[in-house]
Amino acid sequence: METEGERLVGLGELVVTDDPAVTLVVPGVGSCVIVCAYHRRVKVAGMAHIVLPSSENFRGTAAKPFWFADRAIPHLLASLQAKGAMRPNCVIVGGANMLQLALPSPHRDALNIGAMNVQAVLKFLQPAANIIAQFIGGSHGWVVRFRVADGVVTVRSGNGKTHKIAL
Amino acid sequence: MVTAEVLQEALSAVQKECEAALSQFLATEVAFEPKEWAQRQADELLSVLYSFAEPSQVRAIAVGIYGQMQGYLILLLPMDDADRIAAFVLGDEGDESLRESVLAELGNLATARLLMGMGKALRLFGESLPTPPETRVDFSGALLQSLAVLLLAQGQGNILHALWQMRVRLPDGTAHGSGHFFLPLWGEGLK
Repeated sequence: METEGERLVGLGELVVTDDPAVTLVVPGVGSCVIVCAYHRRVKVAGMAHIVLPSSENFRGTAAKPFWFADRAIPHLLASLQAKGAMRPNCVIVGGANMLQLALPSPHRDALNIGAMNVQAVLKFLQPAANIIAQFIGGSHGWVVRFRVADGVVTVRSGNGKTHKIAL
Repeated sequence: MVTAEVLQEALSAVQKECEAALSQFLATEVAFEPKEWAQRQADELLSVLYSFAEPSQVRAIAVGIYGQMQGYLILLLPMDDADRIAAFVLGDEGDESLRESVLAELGNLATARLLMGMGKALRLFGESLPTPPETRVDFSGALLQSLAVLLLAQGQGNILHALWQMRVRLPDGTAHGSGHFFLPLWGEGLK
């Protein structure tokens, strides 16, 4: 599935790179949130694949710090800044509620994890980045490709639509 | 606490029951080939499931199980194979909602067998119920990721994950699919 130059970004992974030969790829995002960040002048790209909103009350967070919006976003911004990329342009994708299973409460509450992820990502990202586009919520998944060479993000939706955004 | 042997035996029995039920419903041979099963922590499951992610659209049938037993079943069928299965049952007459009903019934039948077989193996004699099946067209990676995060968000510790490959014999060639079954195991899990 991974072709030359493509770098899969797995759950809870955070990648910052200035290698123009690389395209960062997420083959499926539903309730998770993908943050694509880019600085045009220094041509540095960053991507975080966030799984859950908060590391509070969660065991074993030290081993998986970038699962959580409250840990991943500050680290992503700091890593970009260390490469000279201040206040990057961003696209965020995800936070869908893909499964609307008719579960009784309290099981049903967990189905809203996507919305909680989006809320947490925006809280940490908005003060320090320019959010150019958002593909969030709804009930469809996405496939995300982010080309480091020119900062173009391609977002394919499960409903058949494809969007291209130049960061 | 249930043993791995008991669980293996129960999964084999469920597999045969599913084969019989789906073969009868579709009026053709349906085979479930066990690919793997394992007890995993919810966080480990995230990575394992994501290794199955492909950026291609599938037809998915998801069913939740609640009550004394709690879990999820998701069947993933390549679009073309799902359409061929539905067409085999309905002929040329089926519209989209009828096609979805045929596929949903596969999830219904499989879940009923899982509930009976696993309930017996785990000695769960209280009431466990399935949700109505939900059929969707979407990316397999996004669906599996959402399901894994759901289990994680529910704070499930040890989770039984069984993966089957499904084959349906059709006049124009075999249709393929896969089925993931998730069942949280309370306490310390398997012996």
